[in-house]
Amino acid sequence: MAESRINNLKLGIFTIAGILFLVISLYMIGKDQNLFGSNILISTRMRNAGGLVSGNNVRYSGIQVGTVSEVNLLSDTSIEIIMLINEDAANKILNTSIASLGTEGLIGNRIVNLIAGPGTGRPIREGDVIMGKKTTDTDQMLETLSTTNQNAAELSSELLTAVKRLNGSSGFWRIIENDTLATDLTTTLQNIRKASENTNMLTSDMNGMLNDIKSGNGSAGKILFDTTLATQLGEALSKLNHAASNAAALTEKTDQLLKGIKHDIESGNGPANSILKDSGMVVKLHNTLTNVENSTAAFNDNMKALKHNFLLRGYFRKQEKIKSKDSAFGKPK
Amino acid sequence: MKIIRYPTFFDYIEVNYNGMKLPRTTQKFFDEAGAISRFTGRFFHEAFRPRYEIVEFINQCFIIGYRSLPLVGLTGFIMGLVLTMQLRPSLVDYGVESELPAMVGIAIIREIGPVLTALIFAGKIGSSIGAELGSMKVTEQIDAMEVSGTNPYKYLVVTRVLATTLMLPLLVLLGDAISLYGAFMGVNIKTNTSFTLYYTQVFDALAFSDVIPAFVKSFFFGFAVGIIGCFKGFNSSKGTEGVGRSANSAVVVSSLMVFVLDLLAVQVTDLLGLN
Repeated sequence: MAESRINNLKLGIFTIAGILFLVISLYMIGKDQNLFGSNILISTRMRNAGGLVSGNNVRYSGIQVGTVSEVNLLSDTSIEIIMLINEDAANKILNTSIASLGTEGLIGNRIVNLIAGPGTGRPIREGDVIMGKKTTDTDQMLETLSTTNQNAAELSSELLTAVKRLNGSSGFWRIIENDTLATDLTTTLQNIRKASENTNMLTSDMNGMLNDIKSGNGSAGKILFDTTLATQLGEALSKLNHAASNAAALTEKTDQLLKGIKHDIESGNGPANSILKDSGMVVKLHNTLTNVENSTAAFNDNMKALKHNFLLRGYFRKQEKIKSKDSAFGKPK
Repeated sequence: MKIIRYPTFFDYIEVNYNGMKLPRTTQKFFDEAGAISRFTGRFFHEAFRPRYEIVEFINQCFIIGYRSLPLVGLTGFIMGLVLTMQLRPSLVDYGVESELPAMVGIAIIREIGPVLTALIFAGKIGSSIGAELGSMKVTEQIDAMEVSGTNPYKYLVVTRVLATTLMLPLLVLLGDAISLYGAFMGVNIKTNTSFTLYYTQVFDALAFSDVIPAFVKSFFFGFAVGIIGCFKGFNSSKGTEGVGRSANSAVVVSSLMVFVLDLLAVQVTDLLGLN
């Protein structure tokens, strides 16, 4: 009887252990699928579900927050994805969040990734529709990779052709094997570098000059950018124009005068004609000048005689004393 | 006591092949299939009618379930460990070694746990029932029970078949748990994965559609092992040689039935969209 009771006890433990494992397993699976606890339903819309099915996981910033409840075809370009989100997590997910499709690992199941969106919003509520974002799926990546491969193949083919041509060219290898060429190239490069430095300096100077000109410094700057100078120049040009017109009038008058003089000279009227054309007048002028010269010499003799005259001698001595005194003190007269 | 004979599928097609010469083995196969069907029909007839042999049923549960646990547990542990070690190189080649717990978990829960436990169970319990009932048959103990007014079918068959049907799922559950622990040890031979992370990865990968069909089919496995063991023992003949043959036959046929039922279960699961 006692043995039977022990056996029953062992059987009970065995049975409970088995049932307990079943319950724990079901609970853990159900917990992953949000079957226990409160949940809310939200949705998003995309153009391509990418193989997403009910039961796929929903993650917010990498944390499991729910599962996909339904995937519905709304129209030819719109897929509705309804998600079951854990209520605790829903309080922290804003309605500005963005949904995108992804995979668990490289080749794993499809998942919906929720990420925080721009700006601020309120926590998501039952029935909210959040924005969906198109992501690059594996097919697109492979398509791009295929194009890249084609390009790489073409590139390698071109490279092969180029290498073959280079190998077939004796001139190219002569250049490569020429040791002095390297030295020459180095020197040339050094010169180019110096020239470049000089050009830089020149450019810098020109830049400075241009800056000066732009800021209105210097003659060129004033010419180009000083508005007052432009006004003055305008005025000067206007005056010059006026002067030119006066000069033209003067020239015309002078021309008329000269024509009149020429006419007088040619017709024998006026003093000019007498001076230029009358030979007798010239003789008379010569004689007059000779007489003036002789009179001047006689006047000088008379003045010398006056200096020695007792009436005027004192005056002349007084003038000599004043002159010598001024020259001794360096005082100008 | 009057033994009720229930018509089977083969009784209905008898008119079609009556008079035809079938090969002896084929005819024997059909005969045995018909007999098992009748035996099964009698089980359902007897099982739900009083008097219920509760004490004997609990006793059989203890013998069939509890005493099979060490063998099932050890086998499951080794299987989980070996499976992990065998799968690792392939997953490493594909660069998805981190998926090892998930893959081993699904393999154990969905297929290896139920089938392996059922096969071990068929080997241990099927042969045991076949031999026990066979020896009772050849020593006319079953006849003596009938004479004494005890229903031998109810006492011997119903209790054992119910015990195998209910105990095998429990053994599968515990075998799965031990096997997953063995797989955890296997995972930790080459990497350093915490127990929490391992079980999180395993249960993240599992769904109800993995656990429930596997659990349900283990009831059918248990029933098949029990009913075939009892049938072979109950129909044993030719002395001690017949007892050995019954035990052996019980193991072979019940093991085969486990695979056949597994195939059917996969098809049904697929039809229901649970795969």
